[in-house]
Amino acid sequence: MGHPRPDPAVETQDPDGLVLVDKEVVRRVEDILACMANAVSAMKLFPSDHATVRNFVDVLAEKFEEFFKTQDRLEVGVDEHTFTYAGRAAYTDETTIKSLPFFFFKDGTRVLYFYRGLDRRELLEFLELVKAVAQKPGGDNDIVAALWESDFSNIQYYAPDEFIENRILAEKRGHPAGQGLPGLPSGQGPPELPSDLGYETLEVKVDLDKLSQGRIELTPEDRERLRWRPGAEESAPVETPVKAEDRPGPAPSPEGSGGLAPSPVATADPNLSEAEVRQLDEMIHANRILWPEEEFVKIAAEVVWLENDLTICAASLDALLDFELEQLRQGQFPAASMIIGKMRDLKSRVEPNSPGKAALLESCLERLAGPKPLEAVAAHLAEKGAADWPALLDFFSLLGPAALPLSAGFFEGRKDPEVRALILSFIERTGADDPGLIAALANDSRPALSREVIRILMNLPGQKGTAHLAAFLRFKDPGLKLEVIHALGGLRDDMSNKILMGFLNDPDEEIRIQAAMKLDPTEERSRIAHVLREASDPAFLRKSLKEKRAILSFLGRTRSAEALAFLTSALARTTLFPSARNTEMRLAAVAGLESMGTPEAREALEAGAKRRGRQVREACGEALARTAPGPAGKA
Amino acid sequence: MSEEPNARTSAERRPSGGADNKAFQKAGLALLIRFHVLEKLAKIHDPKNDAFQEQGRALFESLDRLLAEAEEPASLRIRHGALLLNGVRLKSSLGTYPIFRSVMEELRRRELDAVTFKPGLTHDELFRFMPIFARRERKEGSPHARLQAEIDAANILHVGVEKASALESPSNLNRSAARIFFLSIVHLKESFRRNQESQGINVHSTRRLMQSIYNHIVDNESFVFGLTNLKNHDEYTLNHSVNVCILATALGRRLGLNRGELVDLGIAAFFHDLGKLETPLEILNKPDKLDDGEREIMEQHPFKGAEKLVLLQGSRRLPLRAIHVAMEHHIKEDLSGYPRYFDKADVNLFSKIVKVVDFFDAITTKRVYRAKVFTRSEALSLMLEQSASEFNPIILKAFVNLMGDFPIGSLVALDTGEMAVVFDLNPDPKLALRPTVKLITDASGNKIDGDVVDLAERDPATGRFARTILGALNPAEYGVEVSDYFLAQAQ
Repeated sequence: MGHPRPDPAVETQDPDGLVLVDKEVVRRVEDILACMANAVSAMKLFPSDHATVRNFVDVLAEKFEEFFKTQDRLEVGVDEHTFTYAGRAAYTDETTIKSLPFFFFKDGTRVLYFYRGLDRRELLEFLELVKAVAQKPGGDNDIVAALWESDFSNIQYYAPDEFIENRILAEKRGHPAGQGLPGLPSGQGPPELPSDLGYETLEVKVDLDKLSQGRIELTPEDRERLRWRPGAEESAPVETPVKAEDRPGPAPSPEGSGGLAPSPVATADPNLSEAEVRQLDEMIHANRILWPEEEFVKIAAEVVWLENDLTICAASLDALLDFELEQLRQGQFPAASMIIGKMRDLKSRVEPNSPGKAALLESCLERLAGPKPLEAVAAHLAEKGAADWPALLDFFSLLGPAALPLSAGFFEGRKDPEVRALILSFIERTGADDPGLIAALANDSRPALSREVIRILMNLPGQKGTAHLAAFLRFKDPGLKLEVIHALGGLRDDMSNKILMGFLNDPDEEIRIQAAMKLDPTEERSRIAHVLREASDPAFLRKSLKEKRAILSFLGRTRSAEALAFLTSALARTTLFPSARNTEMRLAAVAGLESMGTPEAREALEAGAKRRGRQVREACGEALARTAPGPAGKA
Repeated sequence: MSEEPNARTSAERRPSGGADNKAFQKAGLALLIRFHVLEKLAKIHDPKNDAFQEQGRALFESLDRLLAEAEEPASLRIRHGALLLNGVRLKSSLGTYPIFRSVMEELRRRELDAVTFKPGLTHDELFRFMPIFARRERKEGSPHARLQAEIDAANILHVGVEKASALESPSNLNRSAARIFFLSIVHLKESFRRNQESQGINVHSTRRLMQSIYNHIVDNESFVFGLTNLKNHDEYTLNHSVNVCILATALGRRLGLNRGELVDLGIAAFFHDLGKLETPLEILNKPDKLDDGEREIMEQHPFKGAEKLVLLQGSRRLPLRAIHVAMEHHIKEDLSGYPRYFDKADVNLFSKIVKVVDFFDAITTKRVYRAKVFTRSEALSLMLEQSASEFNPIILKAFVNLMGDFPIGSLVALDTGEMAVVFDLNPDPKLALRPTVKLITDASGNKIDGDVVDLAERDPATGRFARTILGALNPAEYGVEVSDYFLAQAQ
């Protein structure tokens, strides 16, 4: 074969010794690197399944495939802002913050290798890794560490040890470059080290002469121990060693080792049995599925258990609190629950013998269930909008009443009925012994929850929740108040009436009317006197007819003598000139007497049926008809 | 793109994952084992031998099937410490590790990156190739060039061998490994200092360091093991911790831990004795037996170390298992030992691993309070005797397997009267008692800078082994610093 003629497409080797390389190959490499940079840029902007990204990755994969038809591998040099190929710049980006070459360079990468066999899947994984690492903060964005861990089959790198060596040595001296800051001197690698930290610190020189001078004589004991025993010859060929069980007594070990008594090491079967391999796999698997948060808490608890210095104990407990907050921010509520459970357990164990430590644990528990954890939960939900609700509410259960306000806020914000049910269950359980806590959760800004609070309070055994419905007297939402009124109206007890009485002063007329209608007639004189006073007040005349009717109907239902007297008097009152208010008052009195339904009331109605005022006379007549004894009227 | 309408690309023909990948792994492993076995048989048997014929047929069938399915050459390649078959990394396990190691060493010895079997390979070509490949390389000339010439001369058209890309010289590799070893001691010392001054540990640098240690173990395991014979450099705890880190990482690798786990294990082992910062030096270095009070203080170092790591954990991103290891590395398999838990009833896997290597390194290190320093072989024997309650038996067994009958760094007496230091284990388990050794004295006991010899080599004239180990010697009794012989390889 003769020497090939110079090919104009091929670069000639220059005095600098640049590698002879086909221009077309160089062009392809440049193309690949540019495409790769574009793919990475696209991935930073769009998700991996976006059409733009898919297109870039497809094109890049095709370019690699084409390249590998003629080349085994692509070796890319990494300079500070440049990728090189065969000693030549192949891609440059000097914008440090986004430069792909710099991204690799900063962590010590000096060569990247892409091998034939690289497929689209692996390429995409690589690009996604680059994207993920680039988005990490601070020291976590070490691409070399990430590449190492990813262990790609067909993408390798070279990052010389000198990089980490210089970094560690620089850290030792507090050198700023040791912090992994960018901006290394261009083309020079890591900065100069202080002179007293030379390479001497990393090497121990051995006196080679010492190794070849002098003598070593076997001790008499070793001579005796190692003396050759007659007849101990090579006993087996290479491929068929004597097994331990086949050796008679303290026989020579295989391969003619000179008649030594076999050591436990020599006779031990070096191979694991199938059962042992299975056990090992199980151990490794079990280790992989360990819940790291749980393990941390368990062992931190053990540390606290063992430590007798309370100051140091306190520091460990602070660390646990920090850990709890971190877990809550990440939505890891089971971990937070576990911490509290473990601390409670520990406290119960130390209490008898270490009151000081128990006090520390008590204080820790208070903080673990305090405002900061709740803020962390709120922050997590605000950010993520979703949570592991069963786990969160288990955590709330451990916090107890302190978590009620936060849970109330969550209820209102969630429309999912299952989530709401979980929250309500928590609220009911937690407030069962102190209904005031439940009542305190209701307010005008939580109408949905407030309705549930009404229900819960009403359903508490022994009606111990009823009194707390008084809180609704302050509410503005009429719907809620009406619900309370409706609920109370069915109870017909003293407490309910008290609260309903309160609603008689509500600024909303409808509320007042409904309350009056739901009031239970009672013989308690103070309540009747109160209403009578209200009804006698000139301001009462300004109320609407409906309201007047409602209140005077209540008076009628009391069937008291005072009420009869008042209603009779009111019915009889006439004015010189027609007065709408007075007429309304008289009509309301009619309603009251009708409600009363006693013979005395009928007498008053009959008298009223003959008095001035046609409207009043008609009303009296109708009332009499309705209350007439027998089938036509109410009895 | 291919011009054939239905042709798949090489990437498409590769297993895509899941069951496909499992099947490929199984087939690939079978092929590798057959290659290995046939290569071993080719060393000692004529191609007409029945065993050779049978294995040869089996290998040919595997290759034939792979060539038919893949529609491309079948390439067994070594790359960055891994074996790949047609671009797919083959996974080793505890049981197959010796085979992987053996094949990789055979490829390295011949300066090869890959052996490729091409479509059209014949039975006859394979049977002619294997003896050529198995032949011990000649010392003169490049092993690859020699091999290629023999393949060409034999007119084997469908087997190719690829020369390795520029290999780092052994002395450079050794130097790099040694530097990382000492860098680890520097870094640990600095980490301890920072901890004492209530500063954080730089986990990122530590993580990179662990990765580098792993890389060196993969590239140069025997030399790195040799470095662990270095004891008491700077402070005992520092040197010891680095040794434990290396041995734990190597053992973890052998057990099948993945990379992420190995880095975590390395970090955990690195800091396992952090608690000794709280132990007074006069107790650590006391030459006599500790009294009860001193023992009690000494036995606090595990939980003190764990405590320090708990305090660091929140903001320092240390692996959580580092805390386990610090706490548990003196807890025995039966949960005795120290410290005693109040609640926890198990010991982490990483703790069990570190416990084994920690014990091993400790009892093979001269300490003022220890009358006897065990040799590495004695240490392993002692540990095997105690295995039931002290160590996890499976992990211990794996460690013994890793270390070998004569662990690297053992000082041995040979039947020739020479003394030697074990430099490398024999990858063939059947030749476990025939490691590679460096001769350090002649037959008369004069110290020499001797050759590194393979005790599995036979005298061509007689067919007998040239040298055989009589037994291990205690370097401390002979004033031999075994580590010097390794460090000398790095100068």
